[in-house]
Amino acid sequence: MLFRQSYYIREHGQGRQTIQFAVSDIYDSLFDSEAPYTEVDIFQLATVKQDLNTDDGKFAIDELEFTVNQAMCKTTEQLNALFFCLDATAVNVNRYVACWFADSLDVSELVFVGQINSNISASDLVWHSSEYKVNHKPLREYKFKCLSFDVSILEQATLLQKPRDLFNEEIDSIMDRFLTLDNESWIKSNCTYKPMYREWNLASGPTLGKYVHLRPTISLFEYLKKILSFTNDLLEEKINSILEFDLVDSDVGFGILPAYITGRNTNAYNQYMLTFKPNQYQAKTDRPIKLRICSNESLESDESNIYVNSQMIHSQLYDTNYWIESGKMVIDGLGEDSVLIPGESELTFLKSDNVAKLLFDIARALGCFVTFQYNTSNSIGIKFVSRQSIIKDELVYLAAPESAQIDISSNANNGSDRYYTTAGAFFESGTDILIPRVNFDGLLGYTKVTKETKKFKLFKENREREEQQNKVEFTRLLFSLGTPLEKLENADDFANDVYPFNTVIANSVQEQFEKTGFLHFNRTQGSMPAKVWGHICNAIYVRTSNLQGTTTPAQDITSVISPAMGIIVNINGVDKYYNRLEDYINDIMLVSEQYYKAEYDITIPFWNLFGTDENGANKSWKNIRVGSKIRFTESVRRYISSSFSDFDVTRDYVVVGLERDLSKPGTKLKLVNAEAFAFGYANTINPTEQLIFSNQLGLDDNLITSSAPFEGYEIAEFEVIHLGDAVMVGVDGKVFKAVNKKEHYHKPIGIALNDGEGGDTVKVQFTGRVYGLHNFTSAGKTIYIRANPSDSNISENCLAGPTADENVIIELGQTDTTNSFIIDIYKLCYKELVEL
Amino acid sequence: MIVLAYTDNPLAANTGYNADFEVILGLENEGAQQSFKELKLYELPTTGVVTGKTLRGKSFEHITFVDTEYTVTISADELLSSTKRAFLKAFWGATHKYLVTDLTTGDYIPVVSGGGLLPVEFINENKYLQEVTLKLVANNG
Repeated sequence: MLFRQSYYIREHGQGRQTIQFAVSDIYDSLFDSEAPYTEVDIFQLATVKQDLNTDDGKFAIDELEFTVNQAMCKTTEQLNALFFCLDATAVNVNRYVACWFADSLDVSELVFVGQINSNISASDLVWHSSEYKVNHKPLREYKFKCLSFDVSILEQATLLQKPRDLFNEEIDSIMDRFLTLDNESWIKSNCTYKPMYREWNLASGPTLGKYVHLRPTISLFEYLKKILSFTNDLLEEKINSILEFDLVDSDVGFGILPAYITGRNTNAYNQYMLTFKPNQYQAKTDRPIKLRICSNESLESDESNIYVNSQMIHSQLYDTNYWIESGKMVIDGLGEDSVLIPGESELTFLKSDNVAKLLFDIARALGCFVTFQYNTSNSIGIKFVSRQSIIKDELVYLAAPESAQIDISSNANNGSDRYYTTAGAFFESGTDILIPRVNFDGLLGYTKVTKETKKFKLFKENREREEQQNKVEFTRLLFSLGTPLEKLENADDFANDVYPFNTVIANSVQEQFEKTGFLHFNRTQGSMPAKVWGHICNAIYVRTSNLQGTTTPAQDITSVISPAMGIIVNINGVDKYYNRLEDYINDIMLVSEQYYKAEYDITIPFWNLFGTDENGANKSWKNIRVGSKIRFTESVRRYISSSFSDFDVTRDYVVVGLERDLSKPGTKLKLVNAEAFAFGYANTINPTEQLIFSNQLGLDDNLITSSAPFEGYEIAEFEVIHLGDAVMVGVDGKVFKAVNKKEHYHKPIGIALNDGEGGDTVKVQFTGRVYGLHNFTSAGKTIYIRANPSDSNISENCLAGPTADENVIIELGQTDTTNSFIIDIYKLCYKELVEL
Repeated sequence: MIVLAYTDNPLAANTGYNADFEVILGLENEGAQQSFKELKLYELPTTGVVTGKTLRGKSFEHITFVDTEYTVTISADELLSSTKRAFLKAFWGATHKYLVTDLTTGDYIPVVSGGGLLPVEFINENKYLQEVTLKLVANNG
């Protein structure tokens, strides 16, 4: 059934503007000019709205509102049309609607397409019945809201939960379809191990030089393409949809620096194993790679797709440890491997219940927007758009605003939401070091022991403190930067050696290329490494050419998969570096919040007076869209050096809210300063600039003041604090020089970043890497708080035993160079020596 | 001469005038029509507009619709007939109202009255001298 309504309104000086509206139970018929239809005139269209969601950085669902006055429905056709729309209250009934600003049904003329929402409100106009009668025969005015199904329809494509079709029968979920025999070859070719690091070609060891570390990763582009193809099948079965969603090549808008190894060690227990020291694992500063989500054919040499651990798709999808049963893949791993570590499922894509949420979660983690573009009436391209790209290049010119309100305030909201990352369920993102714990029981075999790393605990405590003190709400992002490392245990000679998390190594030359028989290492067990216990790690990886590059490339390996160690991005014309993903995303949100404080709301009593130049050329409603850029120049007078000077200030604004009145000519715009979106690919990076993305808490010396967490504290009365001192907070909230005495039940909070005396404010760095303030004998030393009233209270010497002045051991962290250390605070008491 | 008509259910669009209204109504519809020798009949366009002035000082006026308003005055002489008075009362309260201005080739023009009190003027305040002036609006789409 198809109902159409067409009307026109004379727009002053612009002629007639035709508006067409259609409702159907068959989506395709909306766009079929040959489809039989019934003409009605009962739909009183109100507005069509589109907003950029400022909180989540995504497009909100488009809305079209209309009313139907039942008293107006005099004919059978009119009543049929009304009750046809009212059927949308049933959740398994779809009523598709579309609205065009034209006589034609062309996709390019669409202002809205979607479906009637099941929440319909109404107010009774009259009851045609006698008093006390149950059959009250009301006449109502119904209010309908239509939502663009380009987003909402994807919510029906559930990843795990089995959806139901129109006959209320269960059908396969997305993952059911993914794990089928038909998809087996795709999984094998896409979710398998990729070369990660190539070992040096040792002159003395002809075989050793050919082995690589490998890692099971998958291209995010290929995964999403696959998911969308299953989504199309699911929606066809569920609601007879003929929509075809596909992923369009997308720019993420920032570049990354890949991790590489500056040195290596061989393992005495396993000749095929390459390990390295933490500080040998660094960001390749002269290899910026533009991050994209696109087909490999579209990539330039300095670009890469995003790769993720294949366990992000399914927790056990990292090996060939599955079998087919009744046409379905059964993923089991091998015995104990099938046990999912508590909390790890939260890290996977399956945490997003449906495809719509998955797309938005990915977009949020990358600081992007998800956009939908109609290629044809039933072909919808999904694209991730970077913040910079959300703004259209061309300026739009306004002819006739009727009213404009500007609200200027640059105050950032202190209690705003913030984002954080963790690489795993119990280890941190960035460059954490996991010490695997494996219990061995002769009967039960090996079992994984989960224990939060120190860094993980520290960051969690910091978040909890911020939540309590500043009322900040934290949301975890889907990805993280910089894969953690795993430390070799029970191998005295290699106690400080690490290897990338979840890495496997080829056991022989043949296995390396046949991709069979890999070994995972969690720790060395006697002469051989223990078997695989892959944990889920949500780090971002990129493909690039061989990073070591100092020796002859290994055979057949033209590229490697490397973790993204840092972000480089151009913000408002300035290149900036981040080594934690959440720092970048929080900066985006902070900037957005600030600029959204300066809102410009403009009402234009026209639909078509939007030109493409200052002469008003090509006037059309089509020129103004969310993301359109509008420029205003204002003359301002500034007071500088005791005198006033006049300036012309030009600002570009971007449209973040667009509302068209459908009952009379009118367009409402919400504008914000375009600088809120000025995040894009870095223009240049100086290869000689020595950024040190060290394998520790990951704060390089250049960034320490910009991204290291620190706060200002008032110094307690009579206290003297010097730059580099470890400090504690007393019960009055003021800081003093830290001492390792039990009666000070607080732990030290961090390192003073300036000198000061009682009443002064001292800046305290409470996490990260402290650089250049101390001198140590070597890297890898644990450092302690020691009582020392006259000098620094930081020492490499552990307290030998309790004394009158010192009676607890406080570990402050570990040195990573001779003049830097990573804050990692633990307090240990004597007697039980219990960790507090 | 004009004809006013009313029905319970709507007539098909562009239904041509027929002096035998039963033919028009068919079996499942009820209504009536009545001819009047109108005292006055004005047919004028009426518009809905949205007006205002932009921040740059330009006035604008959007025409949201152009309808036809028929002003029909029926004389007191004619309404001395109780049948016609009764018809007008029924017409005023009917769901579907029609006007025929051309009894030769014209159609039943669907009109709306705007509701309210039946617009009767009592000449010389005499209750027997009722002159009715109807303002009937036909939508032009």
